[in-house]
Amino acid sequence: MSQELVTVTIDGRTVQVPKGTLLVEAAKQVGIHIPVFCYHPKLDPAGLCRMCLVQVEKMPKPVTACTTPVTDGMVVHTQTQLVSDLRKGVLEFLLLNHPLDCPVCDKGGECDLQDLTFAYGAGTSRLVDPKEHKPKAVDLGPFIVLDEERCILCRRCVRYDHEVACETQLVVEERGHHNLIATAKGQPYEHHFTGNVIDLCPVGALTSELYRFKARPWDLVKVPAICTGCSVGCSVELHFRHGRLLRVIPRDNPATDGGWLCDRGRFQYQYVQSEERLTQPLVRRNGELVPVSWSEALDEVARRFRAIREQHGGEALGVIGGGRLTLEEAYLLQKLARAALGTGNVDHRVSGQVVAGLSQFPGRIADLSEADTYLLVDCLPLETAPVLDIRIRRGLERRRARLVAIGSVLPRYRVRHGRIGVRPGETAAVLRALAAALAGAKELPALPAGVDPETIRELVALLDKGQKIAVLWDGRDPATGRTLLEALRALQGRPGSRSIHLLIPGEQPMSRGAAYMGLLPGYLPGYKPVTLAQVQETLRRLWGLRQLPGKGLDTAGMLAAAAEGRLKGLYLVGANLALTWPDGDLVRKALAQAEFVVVQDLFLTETARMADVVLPAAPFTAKAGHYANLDGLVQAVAQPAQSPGGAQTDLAIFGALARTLGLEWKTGVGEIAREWQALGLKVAEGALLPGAPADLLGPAAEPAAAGTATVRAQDGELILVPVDRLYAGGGTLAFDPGMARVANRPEAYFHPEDLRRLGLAEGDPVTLSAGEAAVDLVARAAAEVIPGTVQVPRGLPQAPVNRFGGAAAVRVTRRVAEVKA
Amino acid sequence: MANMLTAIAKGLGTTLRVMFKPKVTLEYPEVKKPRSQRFRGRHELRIYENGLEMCVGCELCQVACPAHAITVIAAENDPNNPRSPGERYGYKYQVDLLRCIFCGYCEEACPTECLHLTQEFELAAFSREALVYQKEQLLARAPSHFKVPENVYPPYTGRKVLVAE
Amino acid sequence: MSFEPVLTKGIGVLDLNDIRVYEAQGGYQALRKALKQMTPDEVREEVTRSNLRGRGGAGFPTGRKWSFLPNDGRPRYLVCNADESEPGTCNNRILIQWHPHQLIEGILLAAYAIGAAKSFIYIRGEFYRGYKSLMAAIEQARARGYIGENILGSGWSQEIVVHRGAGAYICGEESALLNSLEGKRGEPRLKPPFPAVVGLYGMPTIVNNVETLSCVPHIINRGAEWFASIGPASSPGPKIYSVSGLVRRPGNYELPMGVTLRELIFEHAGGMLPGRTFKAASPGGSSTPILVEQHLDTPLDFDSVRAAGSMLGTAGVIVYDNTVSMPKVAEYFSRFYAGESCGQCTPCREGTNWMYRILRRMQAGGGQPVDLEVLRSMGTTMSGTTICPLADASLGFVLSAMKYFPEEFEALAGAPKEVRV
Repeated sequence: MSQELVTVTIDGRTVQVPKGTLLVEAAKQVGIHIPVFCYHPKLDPAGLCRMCLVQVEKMPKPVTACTTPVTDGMVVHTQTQLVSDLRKGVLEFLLLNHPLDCPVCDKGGECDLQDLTFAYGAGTSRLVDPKEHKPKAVDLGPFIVLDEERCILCRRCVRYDHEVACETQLVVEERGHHNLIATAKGQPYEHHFTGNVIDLCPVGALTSELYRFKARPWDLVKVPAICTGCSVGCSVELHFRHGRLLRVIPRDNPATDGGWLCDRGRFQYQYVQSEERLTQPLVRRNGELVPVSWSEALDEVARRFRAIREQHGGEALGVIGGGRLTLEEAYLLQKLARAALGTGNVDHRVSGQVVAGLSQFPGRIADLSEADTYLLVDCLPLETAPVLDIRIRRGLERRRARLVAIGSVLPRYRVRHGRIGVRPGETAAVLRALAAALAGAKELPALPAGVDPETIRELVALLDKGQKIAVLWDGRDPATGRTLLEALRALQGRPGSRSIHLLIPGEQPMSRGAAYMGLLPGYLPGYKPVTLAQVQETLRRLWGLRQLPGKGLDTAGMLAAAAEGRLKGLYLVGANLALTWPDGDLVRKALAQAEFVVVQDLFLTETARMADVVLPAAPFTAKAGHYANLDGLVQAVAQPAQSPGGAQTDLAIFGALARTLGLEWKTGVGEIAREWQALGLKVAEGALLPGAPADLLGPAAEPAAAGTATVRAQDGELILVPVDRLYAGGGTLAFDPGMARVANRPEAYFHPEDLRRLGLAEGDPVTLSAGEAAVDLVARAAAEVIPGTVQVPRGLPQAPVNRFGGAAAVRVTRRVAEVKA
Repeated sequence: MANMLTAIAKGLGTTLRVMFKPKVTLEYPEVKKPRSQRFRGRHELRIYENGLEMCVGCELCQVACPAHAITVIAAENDPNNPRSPGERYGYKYQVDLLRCIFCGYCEEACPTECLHLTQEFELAAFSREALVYQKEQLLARAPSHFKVPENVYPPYTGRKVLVAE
Repeated sequence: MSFEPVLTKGIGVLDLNDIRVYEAQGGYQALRKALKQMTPDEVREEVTRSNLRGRGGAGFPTGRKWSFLPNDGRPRYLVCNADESEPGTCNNRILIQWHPHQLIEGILLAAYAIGAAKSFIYIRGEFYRGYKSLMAAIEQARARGYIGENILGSGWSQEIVVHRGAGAYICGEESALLNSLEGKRGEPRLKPPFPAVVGLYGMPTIVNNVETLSCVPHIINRGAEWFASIGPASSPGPKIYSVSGLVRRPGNYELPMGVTLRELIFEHAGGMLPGRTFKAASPGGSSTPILVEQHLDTPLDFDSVRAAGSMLGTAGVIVYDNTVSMPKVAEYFSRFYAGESCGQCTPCREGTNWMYRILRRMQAGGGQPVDLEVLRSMGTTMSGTTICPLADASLGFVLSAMKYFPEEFEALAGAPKEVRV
């Protein structure tokens, strides 16, 4: 490092630190604690609380250690009488009107004000007058309760909101001692990262609605874990009391979360102890699902699967799911399918996403914090992997990075950025033109309506300027993926040096890991093609098989085969296909036609209700093992935090099922690790799993039709675009009482112009219909919607958009309000 | 002979003398031995003079207890029907008297002077469960002379909502 | 010594709001001279040599301030601080309201000297009439070609933007003023970086007081030597003293810098009211520690007043006579500061209000011996511990009054408890 070092003496201890280091950080290095309230290493220095005042030689007045960068030869005193008096003074001021309700305060026990008063404060108060009162228990937003009296106005929350979340919702109102933390224009404090202010608050002013009065800090049993809400895999700490999960806080992993959690990761935990969770296996008897014992259920599953296999062969069985499991479980599931059920029909993909990580242009999450150019392709990181968006927003606002979004869904950012909005299916055409332009073609291929060739040239100029380019894609449309890679290769080939990082937020938390573990048709663990003789040999030996099943069907193929009656038995693991698969009718038909359907899930989901056997699985809190996130980083959870209760972990269920099928498998974590070793897979904490080969995107020769709009709207119709929303989707979200307050309501988002043209108003009940399919929604205006399209969240249980089978031209009609009898 | 008679007279004299002294045995359980002012018996949760519970569910007694005999679970007050002044009250309060060692640390820890140890010592029951005292058993029957410290716990008026402009 | 007013010359006699009258008095000649004959550096040099010190309160040499601007090609801004809010001070007001062209000329000269891309006037919201006359004057000057593109054919252009404040005392502090001008909360910024490096919209910015800028045309016209010859060499020039309080003739008096307090009160302001005697005076508005009888011969210039334990500040002299109760005045001033603290720094936010509550209670008869101890300790905990000097300002009167008139406060605080040995 060529960084200049300066020498500074603090209380007689000399330390060398890089130039520009703040005094408070330099003191930390020599083990001197300077008390702070408003200072936070992740926020800009503000110097508001004046708690950190220290004396510096040759400076007339005491200086704030949290705002003063050290200079060479600086001599600092933190233990003088004056400094001690000032600390006492600041604490006295802070406590003047601070209520004496520590016994009832959620923060009591982990409160900076308590701790520092103990360490530095005067023992008594000299206040003669009565304390002044301010509003208590203010509902700031869906998850945050504000106590103005306890607030010491350090403004960490306001600064976080402006600097990190890049919002402008929190403000300081009034002046002097009337200062209040408030929201702009009294609107509720609502965005995807509000919960972080609870951690930042040094006192008990901002508390969690869900955790309020549930426990005191010393009650809590704290267990490190990995968040399984999305594919970022944030490091979290789970806090239990009396065996109930009461709180989730971040552990600050610079490789993933960077210290910030999204609200879904932080507040969606009550499902773990939901009353509705399945605790007993269910088996269909006379058309009804009835609770049975584990052995009975497993016997039933083994008997029926064996019967189908003997009668129709292994290819009549199919296994779908695994994107929510640990790496061990994913490995065991594909082994179960291939070795025990004898079928090559395995796929973890449940939502239409094709890949969740490619081997080309590898990117890390941390790259987003350094990129100077962002390219978003059909991707809404805020809704699919929210924590990534914090890095992007900060990049845009702090580093003046540039961003261009291409696609049928476009994100919303506060700062200026490029937007190329197209109809569903047209993204590939834009990218093909981009690839041609990047390759230096004079004549660009045909562009979708509304996209100007000049825009493409501007985009080329912008990409040319980028030194570090981060690309995010949703991984759904293979044609888009192929053209995207083509464009990126063309960009790489241009003169000048640059690094390109492609990230594909996974639809499921472990999509990338499941794919690597072989939950893909045609690929064995480690993306080894099933046809590779050498691997076949290893596996045959390892698994004790005579014959390894060949390449099977993917999810779409399995569903089609089941609907046609060719596939008889289905094993769905953590896959609520009825809500998540783009074609809902196909799923219903397939599940109805299949002879025998086993669903393994936490809840009786829409899919589980159609099953013949439902096996209750345990949530992530009861699991140990390894997880891989969207950039392939492997993270370990050493110990389960909870017992699985009446349910069983997926690993235990797979093992028990194998044994019920008469196989002598050892399915411990250690055995699986040994098998990985034999296969040459490196899975350990901190390892990076490679991305999938590009062949997953299908043949390189693309049909001429690719890149043209998949649907065309007739007069008076709009094109329906299913869109990701953080608080939409079935599964755990629908069964979490804490999430009810934010769960997406069945709403359709129109461009304001379209809404006006249709003669509709915000809040009108509407019905979207195409052919026989129809869903009832409420109309909302959103400026980021592309004119001519209507966006509906994916996976709403009340209004499943997959009735339309993907993008569709829909007719919008206003619903007459139902008259209640 | 004379010796014998004097011995009997002496013995009877003792009897006679003791007959007129105050009695040392007590008619327990009708009469109970007086206890020290600082005697530590069964726990009691005081209530304020206006009938509100003094317990705010702070769990400090729980953390002070060396025998892990106390369990407190708090909840938010219903502003229309508050159980205690302020926002929080002890929703569940248990003392496992089989574990309790009557050290009185809990009493010392109580920030509201709610929890105290009474003079009651007759703590016997026919099952272990019956000796895990619940809140209903621990609450005082009559209000105490304590007044609500309004400056510390202003009346809880419920959640406030933001006023939109 | 007779002194002819410089800054206030003609006010009350001539209609200086009319640009023709101002021009007839030699107005805009300095601008003409500077644009035609002088380089910006020469203008700055002239001001530096005149030893003009900022009239806003701190008394920092203006020429030196101008030289701090970094030479890095970023646009620079000039901001005129016309947010005169200090209690007891009203000298800027007359210059804005009755002599706007002098100010505009000063702004143009300063903008020329520092190479400003744009000039701003942040005027106190309550100065409605001053705002009106300023706007009218700017229109007149624009019509005459003094403001706008290619001023007087020199190729140099300048725009002046007037912004009205919304009634916050703290916006008179230069960095709070810049925040307010940017549309943010009027709260002082951390220093360093100083506005000269990172100022308005993050660009190098010079913030000057109205009176300071009004002096500039005269320095250019008559030369730095003339200016430096007025008053003491360390802080020369004419100065408008605002005298208020219990004197016979309160008002603004333009005098050479360094007039003594005695001369100002007893000669110019007509002395004390009949039958009253002098008790104390705040030399620079309510923020400054008071001066008492022993200081009557202190010359009112920056250095002499500092030596006497106070500050010249804005030269708003508030005079108290023997009928005035110091704790009562202290209560009044502390209430003002409690209301005007922006609330950023803990000591100021909580301290000013606590101080007011104590003084109010003492006035109401509820004083306790601990109160004086608390007030005195604020001298440590609030002084020099905040981002801006508002906390110090709130202490100025209270602590000095407690120092010179302790008996008045002790009487209200109740007798200290007798200690039996």
